[in-house]
Amino acid sequence: MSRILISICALVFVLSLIGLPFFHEANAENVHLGWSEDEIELMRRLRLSVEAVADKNRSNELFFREDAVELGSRLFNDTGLSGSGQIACASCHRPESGFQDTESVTYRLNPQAAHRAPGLLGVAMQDWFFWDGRADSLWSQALAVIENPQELASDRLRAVRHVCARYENSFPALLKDCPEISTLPAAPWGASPLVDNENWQKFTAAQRENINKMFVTIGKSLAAFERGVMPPISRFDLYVDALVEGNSVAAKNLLNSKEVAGLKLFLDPMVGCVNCHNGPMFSNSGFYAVATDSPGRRENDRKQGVTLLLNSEFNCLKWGNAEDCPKVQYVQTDTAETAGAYKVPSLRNLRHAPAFMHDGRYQTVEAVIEHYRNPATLPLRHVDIRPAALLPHQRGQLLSFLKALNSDPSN
Amino acid sequence: MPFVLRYGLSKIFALLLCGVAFASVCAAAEKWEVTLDLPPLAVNQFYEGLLTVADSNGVGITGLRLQIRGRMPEHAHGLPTAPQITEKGQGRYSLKGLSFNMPGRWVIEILHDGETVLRQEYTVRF
Repeated sequence: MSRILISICALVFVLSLIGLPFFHEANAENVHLGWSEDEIELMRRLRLSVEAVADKNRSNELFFREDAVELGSRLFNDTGLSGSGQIACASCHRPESGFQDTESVTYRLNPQAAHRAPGLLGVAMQDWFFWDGRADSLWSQALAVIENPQELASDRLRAVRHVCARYENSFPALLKDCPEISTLPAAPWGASPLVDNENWQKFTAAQRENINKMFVTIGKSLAAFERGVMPPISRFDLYVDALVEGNSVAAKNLLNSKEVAGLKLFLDPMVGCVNCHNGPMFSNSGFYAVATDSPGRRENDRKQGVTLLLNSEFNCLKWGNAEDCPKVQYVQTDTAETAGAYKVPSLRNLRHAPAFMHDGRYQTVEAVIEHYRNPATLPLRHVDIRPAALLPHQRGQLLSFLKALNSDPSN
Repeated sequence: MPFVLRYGLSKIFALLLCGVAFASVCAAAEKWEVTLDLPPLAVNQFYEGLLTVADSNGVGITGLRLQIRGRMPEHAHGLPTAPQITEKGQGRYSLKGLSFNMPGRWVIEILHDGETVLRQEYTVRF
């Protein structure tokens, strides 16, 4: 009897040893829904995070100051920053629509505009600004808009006088140099080396430096406000959290099978999406030629952006220490890499986007996916991408996944 | 044919060139001991590296004007930044401004007078 019992115990022991790995594997698959550790790690890096925001805004000492956030908030909606007094930042970057240009104001201001105003959700997480990356900081981006004749169409002296007149009493610490601005001669009223250099040269070097310092404060305050313009969490982010926690029930309720299939395609290096659209904003901050440049209109590409960046009086090297400016110091100037290239945009909250690509050539995400499936390559045209091999049903899966990146949980 | 596939036409062509026309140049390059120390690489960070160039006796070679080139064999583009190499003396050269914004296989080459003196492959991770 005891022999039988020992045999049974031994059999149970051996069976448990054999069965354990299978059981363990099945359990792991259940917890992680078939994702590998590498894939989960990759998804963690795509999960929304603002960890890097301080490092990316090192050149803005006002970035975390509450008074700068408040001043920036008022300036964002202030039509007095425009030459016409009719439009503000918020006219094109509509706060109620994900800070997108949903009404194509960019084109109404200038029907020939080569670029559309992009959305601002998560903009403080970017390394480069504008589609050609001609600004290396959020604060210098704002300054360029104020003086762009096709955008706010004002000039720095006009902007500084306006801000001092309206806000000096409310923000005395930020605008402590306003008294010096008030001592400037009344005429000329407006001046800028970019917009009206003749007037600009009428001021002394010290006066010009004061005006520039105040102008930079305007840009840094606007950037401080935009720190708060972040995308809310999406279903994808919650899905990643559930996977990391091993909560497969919650994960299954967050993404359906079609969306998961789309996510697998998105992460597949052979499909290629994640090569460029990586990081918490689904952009690697790179510039690539994706066959969207138009022959004869290449002047707005990264090649020109680099020239404008290096000539900008507000780039990091001219307003900071060289060691804090590796992006500019080591900027790629090789035209083989920059011609026809545009910045990789974020893929979060595409539902707000009225149009796609740098020139708004496509009205739907389906059309964009079709572009990557069959990019229009021409002889002698440098293109960084290869056709993405996607079957019709896979395009639908990818599209479903992209909708899970919208912040509104109902999407 | 497998030999061609394994070593690639360009390498075979280069070997032939070395054997025929540029024996002295290639021999000079071959004698150099070139090393590049880099940490494990991930996307969207800046890296510094130390390059050393020494002759067959281990004596550092100074005064070289070295350049760097990088590319992804599976893609059509090169490095996202323009790294700079500066001489530190005694055959040591510092490499600064190296960055990658795409994961995968990268080939880094160090060039002297247009000739590749070091070719290394790296896998860049997310």
